[in-house]
Amino acid sequence: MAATTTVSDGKVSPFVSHHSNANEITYRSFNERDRERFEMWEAAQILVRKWVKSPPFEEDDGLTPPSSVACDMAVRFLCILEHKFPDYIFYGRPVADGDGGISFTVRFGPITDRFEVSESGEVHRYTMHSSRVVREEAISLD
Amino acid sequence: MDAQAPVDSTETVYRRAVPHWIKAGDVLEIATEAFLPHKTEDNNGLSLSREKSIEHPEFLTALEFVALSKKGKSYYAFSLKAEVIQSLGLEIVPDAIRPENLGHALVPALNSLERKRNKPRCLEIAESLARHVAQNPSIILGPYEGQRESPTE
Repeated sequence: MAATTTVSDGKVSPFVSHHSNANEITYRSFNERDRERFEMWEAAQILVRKWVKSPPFEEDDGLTPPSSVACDMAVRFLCILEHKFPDYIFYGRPVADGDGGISFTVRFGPITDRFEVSESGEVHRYTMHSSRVVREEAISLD
Repeated sequence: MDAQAPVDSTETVYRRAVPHWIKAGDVLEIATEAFLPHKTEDNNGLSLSREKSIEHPEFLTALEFVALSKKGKSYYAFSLKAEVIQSLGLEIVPDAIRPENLGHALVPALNSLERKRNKPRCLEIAESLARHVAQNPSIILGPYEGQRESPTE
């Protein structure tokens, strides 16, 4: 269990574990595991942001690079997942699906959640367990 | 030779993949996307190419298959035994494209409409095939260069 440090000012770490009251924020200490987790989420967001100007492949032979709408939505979602679900482990890397969208995968224990952001910015989650899709749902930020 | 001859389970088929879908590292990662049908352009099924062989000299090598892609682009070819795909309950049917690829074949069950109607099933199959490639890196051939001139160039 990571130790916690209570601070009232300054940024110690991006990992806010909980808000104890309006004036005091409790941060967990930034251990190696946290650092690795933070770096993976950050790397994913940086990579997707880069795709807006420099897509991983060009329009060609039936393949469509990620749209700017898909990139924006993917970054927003990555950011939300990183900060709201500390037990989610980012797995692998974001992938341009060739249809103008982006997919990425996160893990929580034996469960794998595959998020797909379409060319128009719609998000679907496919929850997989033992290589089977056990749940499918559309996700909205609203 | 008959380009429309049924695909034997011992045959090898190629699946084209963009480099972005392959990530080398401590663990080789193959994106599921490599085996998912396109949303709109795979109406008749997932596209494959049968390997050139003594029985089928009219078919293409992996290099020749990728060369059909647009000039200036690089792609890999996954070299899969037909039985790997067929063992998932999928049929591979000949779909010769004359004259450029007589060994072109399709997996009809993995088509654009099925992707829309039954995405979970498509995902499970695509993930299974991607995992097979990741566990057998020697079947990743290339990268090879596309050689097809764009009509507008």
